[in-house]
Amino acid sequence: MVHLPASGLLFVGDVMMPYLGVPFTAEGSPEGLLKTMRYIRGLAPGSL
Amino acid sequence: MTWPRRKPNWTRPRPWSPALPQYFRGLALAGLLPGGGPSEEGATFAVNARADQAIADLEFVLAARDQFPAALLRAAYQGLARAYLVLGRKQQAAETLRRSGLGPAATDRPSTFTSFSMTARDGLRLSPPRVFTPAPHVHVAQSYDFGDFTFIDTSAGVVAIDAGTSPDRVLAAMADLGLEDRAPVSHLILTHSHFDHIGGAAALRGPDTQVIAAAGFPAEAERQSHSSPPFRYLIGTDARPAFDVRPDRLISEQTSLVVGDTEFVLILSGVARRQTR
Repeated sequence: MVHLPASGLLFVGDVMMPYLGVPFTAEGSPEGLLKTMRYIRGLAPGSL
Repeated sequence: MTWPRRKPNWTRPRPWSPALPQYFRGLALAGLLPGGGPSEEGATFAVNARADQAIADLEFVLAARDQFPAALLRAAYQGLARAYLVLGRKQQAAETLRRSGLGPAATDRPSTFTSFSMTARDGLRLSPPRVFTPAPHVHVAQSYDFGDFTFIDTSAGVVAIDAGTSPDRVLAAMADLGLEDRAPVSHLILTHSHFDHIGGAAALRGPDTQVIAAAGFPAEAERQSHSSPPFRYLIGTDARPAFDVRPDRLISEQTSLVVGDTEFVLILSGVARRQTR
């Protein structure tokens, strides 16, 4: 992921895909997704 | 008891786009036009007048397209192309259809209200192609490809985040953003190794470009290179993806990258962190 602190933008790659739902479970894990989502919430970006 | 009369708050953001009336009128008028262009006898005065008004309305709508949900924009492009065609403005009709992502015969079809589209040439697109600027000097190209990509115009050059599937699509987005003479870029940051994030890297990379990825990228890219897109038309027949992208710099922990006046914090997600072990 790429965070631009000055503008509050976070580029998440395929961590989150608003059109297609959650990422590919085969390449990650539900636990990893939840952990990453918690991390993102802690970062509190203005936009994803 | 009487309720105090509230003054309208004109400074409060309105929940609707001011272009909504033009959207509905433009589509209604475009829907009354012949889909295949002018007839052999030529268009009547009434048909031309409808086409003129539809063009005025839908051009207005598309100038304010950031205020519309992506799912509504395809029909606006489609109706505008139909109106252009009726007036014999074939080149504008073709360009507008290209932007609709619905294919060259779309003026003959009913209005399409969905953000998704698929053509053999373009593959699957999740919305009509558009560029937007969520923050100063940050330009996002959405649906020029299956994957989106971003350009950040720093004081020391352009930094790209991801590269889409095919070089020509990256260059098309850069042209629409007025960045056509800014490739190759200073840095290319690849979030991961999927084909729709790395395939267009050749359009952005030059001898001085620094390509950055997570430490697990090479191994993951090698695995990805042995698999194909899940179905034939996902990326489109026009796509010319490159799968052999070798980063110049690999990161294995959170890293601050400063380019000119802009700081980028590169963060490893769960998957990327596991792949670096």
